[in-house]
Parts: sequence; C-alpha cells; structure tokens
Amino acid sequence: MRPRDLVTTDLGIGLGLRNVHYRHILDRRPRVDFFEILSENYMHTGGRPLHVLDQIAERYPVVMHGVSLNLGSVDPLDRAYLKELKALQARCRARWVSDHLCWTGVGGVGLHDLMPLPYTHEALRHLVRRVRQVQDLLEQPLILENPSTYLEFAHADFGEPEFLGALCSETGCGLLLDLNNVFVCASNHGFDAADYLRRVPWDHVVYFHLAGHTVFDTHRFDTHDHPVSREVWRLYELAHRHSGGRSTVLEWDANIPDFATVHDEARKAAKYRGATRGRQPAASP
Amino acid sequence: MSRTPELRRLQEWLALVVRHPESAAAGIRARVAQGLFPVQDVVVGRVVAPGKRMPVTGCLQVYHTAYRERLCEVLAAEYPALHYLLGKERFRRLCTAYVRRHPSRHPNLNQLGRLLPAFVARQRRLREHAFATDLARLELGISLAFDAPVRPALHPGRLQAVPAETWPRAVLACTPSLQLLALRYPVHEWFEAFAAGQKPGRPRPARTHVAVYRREYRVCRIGLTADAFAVLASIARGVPLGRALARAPQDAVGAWFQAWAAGGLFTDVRIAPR
Repeated sequence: MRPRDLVTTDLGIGLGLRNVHYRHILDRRPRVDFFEILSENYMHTGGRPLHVLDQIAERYPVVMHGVSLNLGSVDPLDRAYLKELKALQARCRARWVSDHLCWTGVGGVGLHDLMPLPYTHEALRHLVRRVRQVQDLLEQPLILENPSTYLEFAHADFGEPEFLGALCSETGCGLLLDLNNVFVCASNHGFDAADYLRRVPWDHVVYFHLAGHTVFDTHRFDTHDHPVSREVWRLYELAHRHSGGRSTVLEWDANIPDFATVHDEARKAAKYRGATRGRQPAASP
Repeated sequence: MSRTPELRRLQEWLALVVRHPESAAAGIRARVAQGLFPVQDVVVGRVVAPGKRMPVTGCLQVYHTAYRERLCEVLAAEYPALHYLLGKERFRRLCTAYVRRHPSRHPNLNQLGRLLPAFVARQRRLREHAFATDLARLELGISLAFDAPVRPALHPGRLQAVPAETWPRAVLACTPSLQLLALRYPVHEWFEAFAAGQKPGRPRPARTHVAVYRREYRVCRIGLTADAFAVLASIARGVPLGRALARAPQDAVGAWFQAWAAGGLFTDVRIAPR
C-alpha cells in the first residue's frame, strides 16, 4: 500500500466516544463531525455497548482507535483479536482503524500499557513485517499513533519521526499524530517539539489527537484528564501549518466532565484550524 | 531462533521489571532480569537512557506504577462493592496478589477479573472471606450478564403452541446472559443497598439464590427460592421440563414460569425425542 491508498479526508473535529456521554448523544444528537471509538470497548462484549454503537454509527461517521494490537511485540500477532477488530470495523463502517507504535505484552502476558520500542533497524524490520500482516488482514492501511513515553533506550538508530517515516514508506501505513504525546515526550526526553514536527512524514498523517496531561515534578504523564494545555494548542496550530489541515479528535478518558465541556474543549480546535487556512506550511529543515 | 533477539531480550526484561511485585528497582535486581541485563549495565544507562529529570530506575518506575494502578482500577470498576467492602488499601493488596497469580492473558481488560471470585475464595485469611467471595461472585455475574451475546426472547406464542402432551419433553434454551448463583450470604440485598448509595452493614449468613440476567440491555437480578433455583438450574442445563419439574411444588410452578418467560429468560424451545 502506498500513501495514495491513505484516505486523509478532513472529517473535521471529532470526539472520543465515552460511555458516560451515551445518553446525552443519543437523546440530544449534538452536532459533532465524527466520533472515535476505543475498539476494545466494543469487542468481547455483546450487550449495550454494541447496541449504542450501532445507533451512533447510523448518525455519525466513526473511526476506530485500539490499544491492544500489540504490534511491536515479539509474540505472534493475535489472529482472533484481528478478526474481531475487522468485524467491528465492518459493523460500524469505521473510516480508519488505528493503534499505537508500541508493544503491550510479551510471553502471552498483557501489560496493557503502551510500552516503548527501541528505534533500531531490527525493530523497524519487525514492525514492517507486522504492519504488512495486519494490513493484509484488515485490507486497509493501518493508522499508527506516536505514544507518550517515559523512557528512551540507550541505543537507537533513528529518531522517532525518522522511524515513523521509514515504517510508513515501507508499508504505506498512516500516522495518527498525537500532539499531546509529542509535547509530553519532548518534555520528558528534552527535545524540541517544533523540530520533531518538522521531521514528521506529513504525507502519511491522517489525523491528529489532542488531550490533556498531568505535570509531576519529574515528568509529564499522559492522563487524558485535563483540558488541552496551551503548549499543545500551539503545537496543534503548527501541525496544521505543516499538514494543510487534518481531522482532529479530542480524547478525555479520566475525570470526564459533562458532554458540553468536552465538546467545547474540542471546538477550540476550530480557532486554530481557521487560523492556519491559507498560510504556507512551515519550511522543512 | 527468533529473528528479533535484541528486541525479545528488551521486551522480556522490561516485562519482568514492570511486573515485579515490589518496585522497578527490585525488578532490575531480580535474578531472572539480571540474566537478561546485568544490573550494573542498567543503572549506568547502557540499556535505558536516564531521563531528563529522572534516573533510569525512576523512568522504569513510571511503568511499574502505571501497570499496577491500571489493573487495580479496572478491577475496582468491575468489583465496586468488593472494593467498598475491603476498603482501598486491602482491595489494592488483593488486586496486586491476584494480578501476580493471574496476569492478564487476554487483549481485552474486560476479561481481567474473570478469576477474581475464585481467587477470593482461596484467601482464607481474609476477614470477611465467605461474604467477600459471595459478593465477588455476584459482581462477576453482573459483568458476565452485561457482556453476554444478545438472543431475542422466546415469543409467548411459541410456548403456547407447544402441545400439552409434549410438555414433559420440552427443552427450553435460556438467555446466555443468565447467571445462577447459590450463595451463603444475602449479598443480593446488600448489593441493592450499596448500589442505592447506602452504607450497608455486614449481613448474617443466610442461604440465598439469585438469578442475574440481561433483559434487552439492562442487567436484572431476582431472588429465587431454593426450589425455583433448582428448577431453573435444571432447565439451564437442558433438562426436559418433565424431569426438571418432577420435585417442584406444583402450585408455584405456574407463577415462576410466567415471571421467567416475561423476564425474557427463555430464548428457544424444542421437543426432545422420546
């Protein structure tokens, strides 16, 4: 698959669908451009979540975002999981299926965390094989998100943007660029987030994530329990100048406020998207 | 031989460190972890680079803490009443021991707590051991009913169409959401009070029978008499009605069936061959 197979249609500003908002969405039918579902919330279950999803997919475009593909693991890919993922995609007619550039378990034991990968040639070869297997099964490009990380390996052959670029160009997969994650990593590992954005393979970026994080004395942690920080909004504006405009999803996963508060936070993105229209992308280095 | 030897070594090592029962620092010193990377290499940053404001062990500890916190949060969400009963700290210790004994082996976290009631049942030193076990069983029943596949309820016309002479050979299929629980404590009532926001005290032991099931998309719980429980359990096992009802009090059976059918507990009926 090549970049031309990537559908980067600007769906507008979407929200992460969370069960505390089901009632509001079904009753009030708010004007939201699209919803992003957490894939695993609708897998291995047969009751209300799927019933609600069916109703929402009738009214809104839906995209899927997963956390358990375990793409970077040395364990074999879980075929049963992939089969169910594909069935869910067909059921809700999801435009995109995404997960993370990470591993989540090894030796058959799940850590259920986005564990970091070393950006080495060996890891790249491994990821290329796995992305191709997943895409062959899903019959569509996989979209991968840059994770928040709290450690870096001592040895790396690539920076993260270059690793993502090589993976995208080898497999034709897409990128879900999480700007909060870029900022959290930049802060934790001491790199320049604006420079990171200059190195992103923009042709492959399909959509953006925005979220809040928590600041500790020693590090920033990707908690999705706050409004988007001022610094991340600035990065978002910059990302729009680079990309020329992409769909955007706001995630809010803990201490979730009422729907109107989350929706208002997401709609702030319109200001930044509007501000970048007609501007030239920032120069590449 | 693996095509990714270094990646495998890194992942196996990180998993050992993150899952260590004490801390990341203890994890890197564990014998198995040292077999993958000597502790000296780790602390000087030859495996993981020191963070901007954290030493190597601090970076690893972020993942160690997150692992435990996340799994405990998931279990607390699935077992809120057990969490309340034990209190935050004891529940946390229980979860830590549980996850150590039964680490997640499924991609979906909604499967993590499936073995918790059996695990609680083995914790004989737990002060409220029997009550806590029953409560965990009830909460698991609620989760299983919530996640069960959808099966339309049997249309009353189909039951009415069964000829009277074939009733003893009728085999009813129950909704896959049905969970039948024989308990030592009236946890069903205790749970009602808890769910209503009260602070119920610990009840006296009393044999209790409960059916948990989902009616369309709502999880329901009903108390059953011992006789009704025995009949419903036989039906759920596929026993033909004639045998399932053989010892039941005949004056009560009609009302039971009416309530169960109206509750959508049955999804199909067939007549077993003679």
